[in-house]
Amino acid sequence: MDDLYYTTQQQDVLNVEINSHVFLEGPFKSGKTSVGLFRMKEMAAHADPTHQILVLTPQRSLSIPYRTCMQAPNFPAGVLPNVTTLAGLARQLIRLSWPQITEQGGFRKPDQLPTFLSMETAQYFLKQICQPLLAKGYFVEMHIDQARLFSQILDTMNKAALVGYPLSETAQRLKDAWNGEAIRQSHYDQSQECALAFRSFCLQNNLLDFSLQVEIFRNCLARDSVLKRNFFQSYQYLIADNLEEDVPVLHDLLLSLQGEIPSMLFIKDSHAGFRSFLGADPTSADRLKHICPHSFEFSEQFDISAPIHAFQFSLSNCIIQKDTSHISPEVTRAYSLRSVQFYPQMIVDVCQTIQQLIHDELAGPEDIAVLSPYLPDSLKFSLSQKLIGMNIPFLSSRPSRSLAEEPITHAVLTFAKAAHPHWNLEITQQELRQAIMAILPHCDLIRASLLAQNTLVEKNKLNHYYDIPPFTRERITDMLGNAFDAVVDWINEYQKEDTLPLDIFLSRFFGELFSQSGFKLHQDVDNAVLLTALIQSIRDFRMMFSTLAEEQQQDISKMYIETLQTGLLPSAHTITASENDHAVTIAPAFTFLMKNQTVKYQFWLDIGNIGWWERLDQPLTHPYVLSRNWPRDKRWMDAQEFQANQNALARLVAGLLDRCSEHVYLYVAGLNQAGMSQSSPLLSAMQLFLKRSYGMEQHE
Amino acid sequence: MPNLPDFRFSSQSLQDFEECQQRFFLRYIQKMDWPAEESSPYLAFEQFRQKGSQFHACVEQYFHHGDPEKIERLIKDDDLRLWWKNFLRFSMEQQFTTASSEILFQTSLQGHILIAKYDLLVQQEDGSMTIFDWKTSASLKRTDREFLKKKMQTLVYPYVLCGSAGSQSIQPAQVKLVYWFPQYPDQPEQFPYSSIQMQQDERVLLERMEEITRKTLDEFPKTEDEKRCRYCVYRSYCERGKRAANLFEDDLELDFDLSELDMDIDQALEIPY
Repeated sequence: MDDLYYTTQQQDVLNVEINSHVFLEGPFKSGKTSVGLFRMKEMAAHADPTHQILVLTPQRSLSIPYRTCMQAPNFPAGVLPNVTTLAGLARQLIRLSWPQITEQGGFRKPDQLPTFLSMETAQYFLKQICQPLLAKGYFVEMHIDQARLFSQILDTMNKAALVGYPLSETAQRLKDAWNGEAIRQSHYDQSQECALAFRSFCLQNNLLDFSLQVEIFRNCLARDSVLKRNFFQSYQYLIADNLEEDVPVLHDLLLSLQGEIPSMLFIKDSHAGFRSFLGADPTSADRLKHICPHSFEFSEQFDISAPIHAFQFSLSNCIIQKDTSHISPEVTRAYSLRSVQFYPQMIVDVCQTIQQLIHDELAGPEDIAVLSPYLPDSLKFSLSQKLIGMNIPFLSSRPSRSLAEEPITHAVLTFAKAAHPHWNLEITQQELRQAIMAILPHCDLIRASLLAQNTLVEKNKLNHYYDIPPFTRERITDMLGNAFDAVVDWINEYQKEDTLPLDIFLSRFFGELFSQSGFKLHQDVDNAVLLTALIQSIRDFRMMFSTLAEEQQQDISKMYIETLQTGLLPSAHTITASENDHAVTIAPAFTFLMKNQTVKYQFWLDIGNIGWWERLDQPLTHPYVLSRNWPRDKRWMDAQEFQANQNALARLVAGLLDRCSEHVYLYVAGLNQAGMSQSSPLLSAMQLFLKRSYGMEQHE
Repeated sequence: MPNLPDFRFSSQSLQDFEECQQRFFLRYIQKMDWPAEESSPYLAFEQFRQKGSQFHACVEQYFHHGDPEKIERLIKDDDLRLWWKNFLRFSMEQQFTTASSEILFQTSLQGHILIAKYDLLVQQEDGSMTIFDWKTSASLKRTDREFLKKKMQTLVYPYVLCGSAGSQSIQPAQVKLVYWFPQYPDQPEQFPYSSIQMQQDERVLLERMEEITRKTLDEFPKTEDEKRCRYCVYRSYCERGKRAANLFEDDLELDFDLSELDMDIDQALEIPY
């Protein structure tokens, strides 16, 4: 079936009879997923419509090896495995079984279809629900912006669903563990009140945010054995990989399937659990071992560089303050520690070193990752400007980016306002000037300003270029003026017909005008991608909110634009940079870990930044207290916080170094971006490591 | 054609290649998003697509043990309700041993991967298999047999099924493709399969896939039949016109296949949390 070489340990797993349950555990790069892939091919050779394969991973990026394997010509022909996540499975069940589950799920409109909410649309509705409560003074003592407030309330809802306790218990769980000012306890109550009001609103209107999807999925399967049997009956085989990054509710489900799916392979990474802030629970995953007659543990790691491994071992010991009896001399080949006084110096040095690696060491850009705890816009901008200047391709990965930030969004919406004067939305001269520059080729700031100043009238009406006095027209030039007039003509023609929804208007505007020859968007593929996302976002918004808009007698398109301007962008689509196999990765450290990708060189920025150690400040939620492993009668003290951060840092450092094959560059900046001096446990650990290394050298 | 590791042929991509090689190039090689309108009248076209996809969803719920009465309660559109009733009547008349809806199959032919998503795959007691494809049409007349016979879907669907190994080997003579029209429930179009047909289809498919993979990037010309451009989102990119044509007023045979439109299996939904 496969030409790959398998070790004796791997072979032992593969020899297990296919119709049985297997638990496989081991560190990163010990060959677990290779076993999973072989097993999947073996299963596929036996699969048919009544004996299908289900592959589950905690998130999509972790399923890439399985998807790639399925795309190989030697993958057995036949019915394809269903590769999905808990969220995907939940949505599949709800979509297929909606007519049966509406009443038992508590939905008040059983004769209407469900609407699945994204994080952004959930925030939009939550805001509507919370406004009266905020007006009453809820959370007034907390200095927190609304987007963070709503995302934390949603996080508590998600935690309840993923860990598997009633939403109404959240506040009590947090209060039981709280050990600070009393006011926080009332904030927990207020947060829960908002969450329950939002839940009730969702049930009233058939809206399903992520937490409700998981809760419906969990409850329906637990209560209705027939529904569960029907849903899973076509699956004969199951593979669940990276179980340590998944949540207890998924583990519960897998436990309950032991009698229904005859062949299950569970794979767990022994030293991971990086997604604990999202509910990942490696301890819960261990329960699955007990239902497997065959359990295996791999220990050997392949393709691990000895110096990096030695550095990982020593640095991890320094983090957890464990004595290291011996530091291997080869460890010096694993790292470079660079100290600079100012933050911008670090950026310059990082980029110059990358350039040297590419030119002198012949490294590919794809062999390099630049990592930091977070990736703020300023850091991303500085790095990207330098790399662009050096002509080095890079891929900056952040979870999502707002469409509202894109110049093309502003441009098309400016013209949309002009085409729909009844919205009564004002266009500023600056907006029009930017919009003109975005759509007319070779239009500089001065001519765009002249056009904007001379054509914008009555708040949002556009006059023709040919109505401008000849002297000014000459300064603008006919070429630009005629193109501008084509826009005005198109808008005038459009206004003679019935008004269209904003998404359709933009589609027409793009197809019939802006993408035609003579305009800047003609064959501009990058902006076409952005506009596709924008139009889809508006369409989703229209489908979701049209009833609400009718009830409030509002124009849905105007409602979209106003929502966009408040910063709560509905359906903000994740815009992933186009896949580039030959690019330097710039990413937050946790995002990089979830790509499961090894690079030759890593750059750890500003290791004195406390962000490497400290978890995000989330006053209304708590990843550890709201987990299954936290005893309800205990309080969360500073000692626990310290220990949790230490463990997380040790895990993070080990995970990153597992994914580095040659060298890691660690940067210490004397002053951070804000000009403050700083220190962090990662920096302290590194200092201890240096002290120990120096001691060893002296001793020798 | 460049080596695209995630590329797989489907009946839709091969049909695009038949109709316009440039469209194939832009859609599947360049993977270019181009947010222009496909057809007018815009809202009517949107409603037509929504009805089609809701019909597919209802049928899928039905084959996942959904109660027909409860499913019907979710239907608000009169046309769709009529289609649904037609489907229920049709379904009662059938003898299904096992039925799988919206199921994805894959096979490979000399290193080229070919996938097909079936609206419904039914196995009868005698072991024979029928592939059903629901054809909801925007025009007032039913798509004719000759048009369907020439469609790549008619070649690809049974071929992929017979090319599948699995635990049971499938004989071509036991396979049939049925196009069923909710608007014309009593006029399904049936295409029985055979070993000879399979050999012929294999030759055509292989030739086509070889031709595509041999081509360099500048060898995907625009179609000569410019009528097609009126229903193509890339028309402004290709400088082939401005406005989308009216779907209901044209004599051009069009087939907006809903099951294939959303077939990109790598676009499975994941909620960012």
